Amino acid sequence: MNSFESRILAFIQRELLHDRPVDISEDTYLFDEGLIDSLKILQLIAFLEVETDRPIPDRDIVMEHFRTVKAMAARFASRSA
Amino acid sequence: MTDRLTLRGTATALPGWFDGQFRSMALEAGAVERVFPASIPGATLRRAGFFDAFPDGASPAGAGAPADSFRPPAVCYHAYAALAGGVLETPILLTAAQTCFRDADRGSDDDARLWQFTMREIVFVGAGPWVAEQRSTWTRRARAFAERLQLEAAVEPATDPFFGDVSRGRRLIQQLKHLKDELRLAAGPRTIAAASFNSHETFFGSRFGLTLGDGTVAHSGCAAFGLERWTLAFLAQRGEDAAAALLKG
Repeated sequence: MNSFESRILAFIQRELLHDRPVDISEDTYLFDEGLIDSLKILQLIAFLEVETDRPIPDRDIVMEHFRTVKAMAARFASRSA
Repeated sequence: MTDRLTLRGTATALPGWFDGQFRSMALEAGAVERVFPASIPGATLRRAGFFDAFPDGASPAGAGAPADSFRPPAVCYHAYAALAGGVLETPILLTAAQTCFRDADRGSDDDARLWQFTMREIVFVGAGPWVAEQRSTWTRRARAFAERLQLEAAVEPATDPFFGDVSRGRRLIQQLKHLKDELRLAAGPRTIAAASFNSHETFFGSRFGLTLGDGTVAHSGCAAFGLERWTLAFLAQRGEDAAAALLKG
């Protein structure tokens, strides 16, 4: 796991799951598991925007880029400083 | 947005013909038919979160109607209210048709959007996998039906958000999870959404207290067919002669 994946994973565990004992990894299908709802997706986008210092347009918010932590990191890592 | 539509000639019989087809499909699939009132209580729409999603609101039912009632913006809200608080030992498959009204343009795509239109809905409430299967099945049936009528059609994610434009989070979840697909039919140089296939997950189940026998919250979904839009697309693609032949059977 690279450092960007680690930061995303830590954010999800701490801020979105509130350290609930849910076993997730960079490969967990977050939406299939019902872990991300309509409020959490906004928090997640805001986190990624701060991390990458770039806005994420709505058209980029598709399952291909958000299915897993690994997918998010792959899509948005190149934009991070 | 056009207020309302007046049909003439062959076109007058087409919405009824389409409704007959969708109704038959629903009954053959085991759906129970319901006839819902022409107005819906504000309390039901509030419980469904309608005004949160669409702050422009619904059309008031008007003089003579019960206080705090509206013209129905969709058929399925009635269904959740009718089932509210129930424990579903078996899955529920309902169908109903109704004249619906939408004040707000909903930021949607096209000028085929009417204030007053007729919708045939099939509503499914049950366990998540069963609801998902129903949604796929109805998408398949609608596509096959369009093919039988030699209509140019495509199924794609909806541009018209079920949960409204004000809730960005819900809209993005809808986009991410493909919670709303629509069948678009060519009508002249454009395409129009003639049916939609929706998954609400547990949104209405939670709000209306719909639970399954095992105590978990029921999932829901619906397939909705806009009868005027099928009519418009059929006439645009196939013409009046084909419509007359269709009606003769």
